[in-house]
Amino acid sequence: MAKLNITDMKTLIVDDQISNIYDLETLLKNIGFTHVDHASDAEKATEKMETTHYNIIFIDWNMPGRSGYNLLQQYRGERKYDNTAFVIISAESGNHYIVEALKAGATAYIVKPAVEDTLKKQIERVFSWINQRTDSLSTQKI
Amino acid sequence: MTISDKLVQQLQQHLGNDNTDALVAGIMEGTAPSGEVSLQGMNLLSSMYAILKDVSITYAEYESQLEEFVEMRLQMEKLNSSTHAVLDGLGQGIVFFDSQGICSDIYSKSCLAILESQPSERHIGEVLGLDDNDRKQMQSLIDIVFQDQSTAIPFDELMQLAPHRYVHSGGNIIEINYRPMHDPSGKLTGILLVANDISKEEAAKEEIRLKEARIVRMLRIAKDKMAFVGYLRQIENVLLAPTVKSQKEDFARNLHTIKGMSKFFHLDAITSILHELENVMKAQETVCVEEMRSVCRDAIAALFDEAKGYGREIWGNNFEIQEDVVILPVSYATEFGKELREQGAQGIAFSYFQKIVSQPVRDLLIPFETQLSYFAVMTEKKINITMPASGEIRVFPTVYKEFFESLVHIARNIVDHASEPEETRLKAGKSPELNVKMDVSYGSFKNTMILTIEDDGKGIDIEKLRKKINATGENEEALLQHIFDPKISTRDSVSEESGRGIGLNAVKAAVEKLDGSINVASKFGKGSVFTLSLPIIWEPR
Repeated sequence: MAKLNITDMKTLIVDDQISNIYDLETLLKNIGFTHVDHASDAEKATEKMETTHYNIIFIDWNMPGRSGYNLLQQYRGERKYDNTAFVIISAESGNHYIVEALKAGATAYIVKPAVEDTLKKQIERVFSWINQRTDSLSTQKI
Repeated sequence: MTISDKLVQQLQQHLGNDNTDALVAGIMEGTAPSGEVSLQGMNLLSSMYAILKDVSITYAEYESQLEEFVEMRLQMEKLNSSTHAVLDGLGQGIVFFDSQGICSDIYSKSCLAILESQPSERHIGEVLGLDDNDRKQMQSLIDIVFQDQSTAIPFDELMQLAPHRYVHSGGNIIEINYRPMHDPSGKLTGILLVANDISKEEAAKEEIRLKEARIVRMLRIAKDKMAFVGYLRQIENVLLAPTVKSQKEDFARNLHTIKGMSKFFHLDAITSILHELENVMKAQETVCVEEMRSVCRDAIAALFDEAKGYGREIWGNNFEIQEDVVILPVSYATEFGKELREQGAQGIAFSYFQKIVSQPVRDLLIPFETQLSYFAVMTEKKINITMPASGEIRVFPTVYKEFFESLVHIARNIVDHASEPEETRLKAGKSPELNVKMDVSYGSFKNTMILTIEDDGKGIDIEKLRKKINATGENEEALLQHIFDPKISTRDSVSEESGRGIGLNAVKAAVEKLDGSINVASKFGKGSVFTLSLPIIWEPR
């Protein structure tokens, strides 16, 4: 299966604060992403996810209503998202939170505010993770 | 032919009676009365032989394989104990744990000392002394790590979330690192925990930190003498020996200023005490200034002396009562003196050179003191230097430049030849470090000065010197002066720093150029003293 290019990737940002969405979107576009959607809460995110298959979903941990953590827990188990990366973006930097997020299935964790260099490094990792996952899934099907 | 009974018994044992009978009957069937076995019988016999042969081959194989197995097991045991030996030899606490966080029974002996317990079969969280929550978190982390590819975060970064310090009951500082263990296919099979006791390194780092803090402190103090002297005076006036009775507000304000200055000079101990005092004062309704003073007086007095010590180290004794100085290049000052002369003011010019441009001989000896200290440090010897007490005698520096520069040879000689091993010194009733004392005084006429450089070191070996220069006729005093001869040395080998013997000759030459004289007196085992007599010159030649 052909490796995905960064320009082919579809990303979704889920955050209740428009300023955060804007900042992250700018950074992502600088890195080379072309398809960046956004949703301001879990419901809107779910709607978008039903029509588009995203490769990377950036989720804010603490949102009013359904939290990002909750969203992650819901989707992580589903096969459909086996090669979708869920990246938690949060102001919390304590080990406790990071471990919890990873246990729930987060692919990567970025502490707010996201800095371009750190983000790039994590994106690179997520990128190879997605390709690895996609490869192993396709071999599994055979 | 009959079949032997023994064979029959064996056959019965293994084939059973019926089969044996049938076999025997088969073999015997057709056997001629003469005893010749029939063809059928022969066939039976040979096939039986073939079967038995197979069995014996298989048995032989089994036996040899058994040997191999035993050998392998022995090797494994050797390997096991070698592994243990290697692990133990590293001096680190090493233990493996699996995806359940359970430690294996392969661990290094050092675990007992470093992690203070035997880890085998226990959960790593328990071994590390974590509380319930932290232990659960650690297991969650282990689960994440072992979940193949669940996250994009690499092992090393994930393990950053695990404990990296172990809290040792003895206060040792234990650093923990983790390494992944993979099987040949690349799958994670366990995690290796490596615990190091870094207490020594941390202590060394702390020492360096303290040394660096000291350097910063000295630099801060040295930068502005007036500020430092003013600061010390304030401590005296406000805290130690107040001359005026102060109101609470004044006292508090002064205290705050002094605290700020203490912080600036990196005098942390004083800063803490004053900070405490401020807190106490804030907490109390009414404050008795005298009471506050008496509470901290002793501690502050001790730290005050320590602070004065820094000042003395930098500027010399009595630095607090020294006036502030104006610094001019000597050439600039000389030019002005020449100008005075040209203007016809001879008397003033003379006085100017004598009192203003000339510098205390004591100050001009500072490079010599530095050289002594430097050579001592380079050769790892301990030395205690006393500068001249008085700075009264002054000279015009440029005239004496060559002379003072030549003193480096005396410095080298003292450190190299006067030094003795500590035990030798102690046995002779001397202090452990070599003592070097300098003095400057007027000669019999006030236009000459006597500079003495005295040490309580080894002294000069007269007899060795006598042999070296073959001067059998001379008395001790005269003999000693030969150390100023060029190329003389009583050293057997030439050391890197000294020993070539031409150094002292340079001093004599410089002294004589100024119409002075140099003389050495020495007592082998007691010490030596250089006595230099020089004219006092205030003006440029």
